[in-house]
Amino acid sequence: MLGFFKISAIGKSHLAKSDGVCQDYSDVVQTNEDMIIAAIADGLGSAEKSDIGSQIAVKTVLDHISGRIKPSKKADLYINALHEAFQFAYRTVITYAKNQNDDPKMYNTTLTVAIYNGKDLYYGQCGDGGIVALTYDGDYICVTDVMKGEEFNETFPLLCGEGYWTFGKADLPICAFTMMTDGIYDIVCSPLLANEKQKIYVPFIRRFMDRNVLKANDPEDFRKLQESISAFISGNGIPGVTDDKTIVGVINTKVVPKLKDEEYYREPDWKALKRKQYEIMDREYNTSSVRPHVTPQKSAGVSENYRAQIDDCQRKLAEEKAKNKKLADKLMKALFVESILILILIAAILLLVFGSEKKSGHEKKAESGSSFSAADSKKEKKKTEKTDDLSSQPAVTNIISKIPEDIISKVQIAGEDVVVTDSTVDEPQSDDISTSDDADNEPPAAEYAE
Amino acid sequence: MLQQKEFNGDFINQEDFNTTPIFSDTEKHLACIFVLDTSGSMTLHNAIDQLNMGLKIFKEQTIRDNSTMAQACIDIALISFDSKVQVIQDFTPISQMITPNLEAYGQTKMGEALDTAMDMITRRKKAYVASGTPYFRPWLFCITDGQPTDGYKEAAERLQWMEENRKLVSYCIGVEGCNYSVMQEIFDPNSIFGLKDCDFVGLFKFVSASITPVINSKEGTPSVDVDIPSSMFRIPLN
Repeated sequence: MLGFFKISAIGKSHLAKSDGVCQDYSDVVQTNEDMIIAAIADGLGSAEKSDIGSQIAVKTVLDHISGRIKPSKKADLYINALHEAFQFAYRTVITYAKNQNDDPKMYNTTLTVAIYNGKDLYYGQCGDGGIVALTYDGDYICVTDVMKGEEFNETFPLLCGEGYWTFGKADLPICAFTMMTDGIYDIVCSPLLANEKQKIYVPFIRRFMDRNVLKANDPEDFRKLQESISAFISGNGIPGVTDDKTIVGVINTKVVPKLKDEEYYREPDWKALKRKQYEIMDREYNTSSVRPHVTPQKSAGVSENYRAQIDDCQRKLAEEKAKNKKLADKLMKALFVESILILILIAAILLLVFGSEKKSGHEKKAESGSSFSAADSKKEKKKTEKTDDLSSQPAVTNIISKIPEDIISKVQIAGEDVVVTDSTVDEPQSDDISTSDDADNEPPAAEYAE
Repeated sequence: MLQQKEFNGDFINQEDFNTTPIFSDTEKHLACIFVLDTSGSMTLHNAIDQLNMGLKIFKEQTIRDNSTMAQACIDIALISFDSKVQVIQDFTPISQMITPNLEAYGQTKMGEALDTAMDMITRRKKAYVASGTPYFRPWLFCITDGQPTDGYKEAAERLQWMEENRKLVSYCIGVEGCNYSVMQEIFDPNSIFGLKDCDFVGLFKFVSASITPVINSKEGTPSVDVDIPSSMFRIPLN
């Protein structure tokens, strides 16, 4: 036979409200000894009348499927039936809302539906609840994919449309399964187990499905199960979950699943999983954060770490500032040097300009017809210099006084002043006395030096 | 090998059932990033000092109002922007948040700062997903007294896309001198607030008070309204 239990219990958070109601709903229809259709729905917390929406959705799909389905080996038949049922539920909720002059979103709800014949499990799913099943071989598997957004409490309920509904069949023969809304589902498929080989909290869920630990053989057993589980769920059985809770379990009493090794049923090491979670998070983010509630920390250790972080950041800030200051200084120096160079360049240009003007001035004077040759001008210059020298030197007068008169008279006639040295006394004097060999004509430097 | 137990009709061994602890992980993280204007004009009205004080108060109050476990779920990051964008601190639990002594100088590279903030949020969410950590939609607060002096159009488009696709929630807080017309090109007008008298202490107390009920909320609990301080006001829409 196929036996079942179904519980929907109001959560503490809703009990606390004056008008709090349970927004979950569930129901099961057994069409014959060998077929069960089960449906659960979780009205959105933000939707004011979602408790009504969840009831409408569940009742509609169960009515639609149970009135149409017949035992068949064709999977398509069941899946098409589920699809149609979802479409019918969608239209029914919207029509009801419009009749009430309400926005249909006020009635929004998740929906999970299963058709089970003791071995094959067909499902339709939208939202964040789900189905966990036990195979004949004793394996626990997640049958459905949770439709969640990025945020943990973001989901895609019925009224999001067909794009967010999924349908399918479990790949393996199933001897029992449970359907849960997110309050319990998130415990059974804990995020901490997401990266583990076993993604299901087996020790917890097997107590609802495994006939190796559960007495579930006849209708009386299932009646007692119903009472026990109801007391457990409604009481303090699952601390920390204050949301509404729904669980529906269906068991094939003709099958006892195979047992696995003890390891398979061992309680996970949650502390180690928590540490691993933060290690992955910190590794992904290149941080090494301290999580005091996960790893016991001495207060000194925590404060040292904190201080080290502050020191590190302050050091980095200081380094940045120093770097910026150096860059600024370099820039100032470069600007200073550049401005000096520019000034030098300007000065050079000015010199060139003025220098060339002076030169062209002298050249013009030469072209205008002066009787002086270059040599003459030099001679004049020299003569002037030497005349000055001679007139101030009494030694020269003495030398001239010793020169014979006829030579002096010849010199006077030539009209040239002659600097008399020993070497020049016997040599004829010419008009063009080149002063290029000034060294010969100059008196000993020692006598005339000033 | 386990044997099928004989029961007297009770659901399993009730004692074992009740005494066996059931682990339920209720930790959900909230990433909150503050994008802080430290341009030269923030020296006016003592704004930068008030901002520094506000950050200190934020940390103290958030730690005081939350358990150790809850504190570990509040991840805070700080970015400052003036003539350059600086990541003061990447996402870190609130207990290890740095309270910097910000100084004001330079321009207002807000566009680049917002881009950096969005990159950090995206990276943080990837870390959450990789580690299987449930999280709330991240918050981004931009505090400014002016307008961007760099190109901001692309950052504005990206921010609007992220908001529309529920990747984050962003708010802009403007103090005296803020160009709200330009801010409306970047942020949702309903998410822009003015702040009188540079009351950053009041602002950060409000943000801290808003974080606490979120981080401590359970599934199904209704949202809690937190009163905004009298120094905060909504800006008139253009």
